[in-house]
Amino acid sequence: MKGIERIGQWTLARIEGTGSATLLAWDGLVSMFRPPFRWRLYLQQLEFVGVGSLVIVLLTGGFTGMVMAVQSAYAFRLFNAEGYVGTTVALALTRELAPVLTGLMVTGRVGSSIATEIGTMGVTEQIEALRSMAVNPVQYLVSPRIAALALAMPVLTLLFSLIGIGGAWVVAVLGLNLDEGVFHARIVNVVTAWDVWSGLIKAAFFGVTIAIVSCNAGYTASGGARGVGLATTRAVVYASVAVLVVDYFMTIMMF
Amino acid sequence: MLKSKTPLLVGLLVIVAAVAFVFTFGSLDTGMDAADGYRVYARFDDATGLVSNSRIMLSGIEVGRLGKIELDPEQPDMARVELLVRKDIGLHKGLYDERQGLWVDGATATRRQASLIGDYYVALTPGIKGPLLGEGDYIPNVISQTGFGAVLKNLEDASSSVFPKLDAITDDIKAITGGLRKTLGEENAVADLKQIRTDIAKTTENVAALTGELRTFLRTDIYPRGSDIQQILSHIDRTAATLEAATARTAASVDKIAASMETASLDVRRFISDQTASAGTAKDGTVAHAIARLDHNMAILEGTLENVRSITAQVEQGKSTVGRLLTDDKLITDIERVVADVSDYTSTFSRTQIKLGFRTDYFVGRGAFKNTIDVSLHPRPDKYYLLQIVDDPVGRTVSTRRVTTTNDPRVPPVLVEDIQETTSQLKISVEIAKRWDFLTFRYGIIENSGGLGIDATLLDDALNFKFDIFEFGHDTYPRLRLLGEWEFLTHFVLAAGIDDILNAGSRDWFVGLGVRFVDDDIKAILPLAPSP
Repeated sequence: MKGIERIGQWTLARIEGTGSATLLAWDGLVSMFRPPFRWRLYLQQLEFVGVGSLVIVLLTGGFTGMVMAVQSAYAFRLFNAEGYVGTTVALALTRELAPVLTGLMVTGRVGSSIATEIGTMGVTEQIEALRSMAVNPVQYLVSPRIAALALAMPVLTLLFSLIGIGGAWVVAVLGLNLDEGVFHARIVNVVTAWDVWSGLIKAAFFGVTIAIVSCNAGYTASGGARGVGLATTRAVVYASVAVLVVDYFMTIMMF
Repeated sequence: MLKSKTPLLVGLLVIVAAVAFVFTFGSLDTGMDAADGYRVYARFDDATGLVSNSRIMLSGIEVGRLGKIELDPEQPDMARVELLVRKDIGLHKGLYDERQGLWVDGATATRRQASLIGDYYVALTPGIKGPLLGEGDYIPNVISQTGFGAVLKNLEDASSSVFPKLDAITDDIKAITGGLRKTLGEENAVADLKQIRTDIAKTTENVAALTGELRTFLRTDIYPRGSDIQQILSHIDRTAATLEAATARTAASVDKIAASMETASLDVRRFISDQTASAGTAKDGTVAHAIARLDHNMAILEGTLENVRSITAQVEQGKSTVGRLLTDDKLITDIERVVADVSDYTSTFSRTQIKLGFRTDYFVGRGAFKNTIDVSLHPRPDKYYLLQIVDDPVGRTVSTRRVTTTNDPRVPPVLVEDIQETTSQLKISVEIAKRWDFLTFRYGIIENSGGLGIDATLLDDALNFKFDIFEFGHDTYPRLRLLGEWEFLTHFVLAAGIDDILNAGSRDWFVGLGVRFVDDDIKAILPLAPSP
């Protein structure tokens, strides 16, 4: 009986978590369009999320592209079709890898930070303080983060793709001595605008997902420093899983 | 709370994002919009491998993209492919040919394979006649099947009309060869060699003239008529296309196809009849004319062949010298045997190596020099014959006893004189040698007396120890000689040894220096030497 009770409790907690996250998301989204508009908060978050994640995203992107070029060149060489290395790398990056990997990197860097920040403010009652000053804490803390992630993620994804293709070019053309003209032509001819757009749209949704999951984890943190730590872990784990789940559903919807 | 550089950094991010955005979408080939081109349709009976957004190529340049691919609403057994073609590319509808039942000189769409792994695209040819196709029109001629199968089918169609002609030509050739055979079989008069020579010369001239004519014929008739052939081929081509179309349409158009086949074969027949008019009416420079000339030459050739025949008949009967030569079996057997012997001899001879050697030894005890010249013939690596001429300081010792009886009271009545005469004389060695591994055994005459020898050859034949025993009975013991030879710098020989070891009186040490080489020139001279 105890076991079944536990399963029930766990399930209820998850459902409750989903519900609170949804409510928070709704609250946060609606608050964006209500005065007062605190532009500086938005800008600040955009700097933290976008500019701050630039280096890690570019590093990841570059090496991902390079590794993919090496591996796909190996595979295509079996069929004497090395000309398709660029196509493969470009399609994989723009449609799938760039948004997902950017989402995971941003989750690790930004999601954890959001959960910690909001969680600490919660356990030290700063959120209550905001409320007592007649400041809507969701509007003050959550809305700017959702907006910043939704805007920054596509930008980071686009840069990830570009730097990844650049890395692939370095490996394929300079390293493996493949035909540069074919490499370029096959990318330009095969990759369509929709391939790129789909990646960017995915990235925007990932950004919103990460923001909501992380803010919710922080918002619901309780029990002092330990609670904050757990909230941070929860934020990263849930947001990562959420990115992959959302990716699957968006992919089958879009293609 | 807000850092002052935040706006700057976010601004930079926005700029970077904008640049990336413009670059990415700017460099992509966005394909075709409906506004950039116009829509035409093509009915394929097989659209396998064609996918929406595949390329449309004209002369290898992309001129559009494929749109929707679906079953044709009017002919549900065909695939209708939508082609979005660039506006500046005009496609002609072609002219409808009533007789053939198809559109001629219009645009064509062909499904082509771009790579072995199955990329397909549509290749267009714009056509040259008829009105331009507009939005929503159908391309009149569509080819779904390209590749080896289609080529084979076309070839079959073409060959069915060509083979009967070839058969007729083969029959002609048969008739000519039959006539020749008959001519050769008949007995006829004998003509002298002079006549044959003249005939042959004449024939050669005629053949040369014929070649010239053939060349002229090629230049004046065949090359300019390339267009005729082209036309014929294009007829055949179209016929094949018609056949394909006909299977998809109704059986009624089979008649029209037959008509077009007839046109094609008529063209072939006309072309051939032009070329095969009878000799009298043949135009200069046609095949018929050439054949007439060939006929003429053939007549001359026949006469020549008759002459040859009568001569060979005589030869066969062995009437002349040449006839005897050719008919006598014994002669040829003799010649064969002689040739075999000669070749046997020459092969042995050419294999044989001749080595020459000169050596001078200094005998330490006697203070005298001994010179040796060797000539050795090596027909095989394990066997050789040695001929040696020796100028020995010991010379040839001849012992004689002279018994003198006298009645002179001053001397003893019987005087016995033992005289040992040593004459400086050339000595000759002739030996036969056989080698097993590093040991060589020699036997023969050594320095004017019977003897034996053993050689031990070491270090790649560079070091050689020789042991000779000869002159049995000249002294207390036979003469035993031990000699070491070292060949250096390929041709030079350093030698040292002891001569006459067993007899203390004449035992002596010697050292020598010589040269040794293989001489092929000698071989060339040898056959010239008189032989019994």
